[in-house]
Amino acid sequence: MISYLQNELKNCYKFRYFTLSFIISNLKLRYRRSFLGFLWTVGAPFLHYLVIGIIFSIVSRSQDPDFFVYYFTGAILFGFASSVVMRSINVFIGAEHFLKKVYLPKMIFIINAVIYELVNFIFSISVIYVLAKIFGHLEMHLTLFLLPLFFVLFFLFLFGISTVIGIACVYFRDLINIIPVFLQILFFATPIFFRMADIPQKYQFYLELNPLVDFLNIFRNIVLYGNVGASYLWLNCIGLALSSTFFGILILKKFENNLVFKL
Amino acid sequence: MDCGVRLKNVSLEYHLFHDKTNNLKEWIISSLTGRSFVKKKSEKFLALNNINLEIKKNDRLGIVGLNGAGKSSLLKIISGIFKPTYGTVEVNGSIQPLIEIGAGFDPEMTGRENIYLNGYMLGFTKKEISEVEKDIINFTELADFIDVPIKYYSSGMSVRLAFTIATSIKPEILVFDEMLAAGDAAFIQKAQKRLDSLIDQAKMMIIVSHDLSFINANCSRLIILDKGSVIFDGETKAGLDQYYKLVQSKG
Repeated sequence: MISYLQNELKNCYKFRYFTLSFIISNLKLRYRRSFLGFLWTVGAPFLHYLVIGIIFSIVSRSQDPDFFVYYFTGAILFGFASSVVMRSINVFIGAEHFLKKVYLPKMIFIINAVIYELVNFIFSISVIYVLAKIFGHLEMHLTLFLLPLFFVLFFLFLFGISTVIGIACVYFRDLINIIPVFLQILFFATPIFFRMADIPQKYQFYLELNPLVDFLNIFRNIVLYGNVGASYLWLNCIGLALSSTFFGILILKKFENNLVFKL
Repeated sequence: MDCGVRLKNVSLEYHLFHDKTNNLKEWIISSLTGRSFVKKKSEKFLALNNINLEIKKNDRLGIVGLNGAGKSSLLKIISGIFKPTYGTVEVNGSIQPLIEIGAGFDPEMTGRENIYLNGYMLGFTKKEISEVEKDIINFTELADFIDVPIKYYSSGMSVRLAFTIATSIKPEILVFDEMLAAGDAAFIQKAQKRLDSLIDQAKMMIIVSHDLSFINANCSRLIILDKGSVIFDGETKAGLDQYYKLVQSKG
């Protein structure tokens, strides 16, 4: 297992430029030939959350000025996770022509997808600081320095999840249609636009089972409240990140050689 | 370390999906009822059958065989794209598979970007590619088209680009499958020359082709594959004679 991982990582390092060019060209291609070009990387989430902000300020009866930043932090973190999952559905199926014709470590496709979405996520974070000026207030806390550590943990967590989903989707094509529905459910099972305290006590336990709750909790502590966050939260997240990665690599090791024949 | 390739008892099994349903519903139903579902849907097919092969430095190995004999599968095993179902493969030395021309092209990207993308996919660094970039652009004669997305290329242009990229990287072990030189007659001649110099520089070459005169001219050793097994391994001349007989008996 360890030697397998070592070998895979060494291979991924060898193809590091592939990852780099994948991310840069995807960012470039996505908005190619548009007037603002690369600026849309920031512009697209800005407009998206601006619209939601306006609608919420009209519809919502909540007088809580913190509500918007509370919602935005939740929404962008969930958006990051869900776009990684949506990408991972197709990560191997869509790479059929690569997998069958050139040698590339399978892991690198997952890494590319997660890093690409991570970059978008970082752009989105910068966007909420701008939006907070309009709808509420958000300070720059010193705890932002913990953000890289949070990224690492969340990266590992998503890496494991997307590996499993990517491989499972090759074997069971029905998952391609099931997973988006599942994400929809997950959206409402994550405290994005409601607070945990608003939920009846007896249901809270079920929501706690959602692994995103702990990550979101830490994220809000760091960005919104300027707290380090309780140590049990960090331990939970470290546990989730490591076990997810471990499980992902286990699955990858077991199925990667057969994958190409199932496409 | 000297380069070399060693295959020991290598077999490769394909699962053929008769209709391509990998159905979650059926999996659940069959696991509930206790029937096995994978076996029902797929049939095993032995693409390579117990291959033992040792290729040494300075070998110029040609592989021939009828369609479906397992030639491409063998190349993919050697280049690491497929892993054998049974047996082991050992490869020493940098390897460059030219299995399919333009395999990693992204049509949305420009020719220049694709040069880099292709190079990265073969594991090269930015510096190594920028060293050959100019040479590639000159050789393809694409001139201004190099900064146009390749979806606007004519098929001759993209084949020219793909061929040139593939042949501008100098590996120790050269592996290639039926290079189709396309383009106008002048380019084919140029391409032939370039290929020759690439073959001269490689420490080892493994090639699959139906062009027997090409094999005769370039290979020092020949193997014949038939239904996944090696039925001949030896001198090119004797091998070609046997291959002609095989073709005639089938025809």
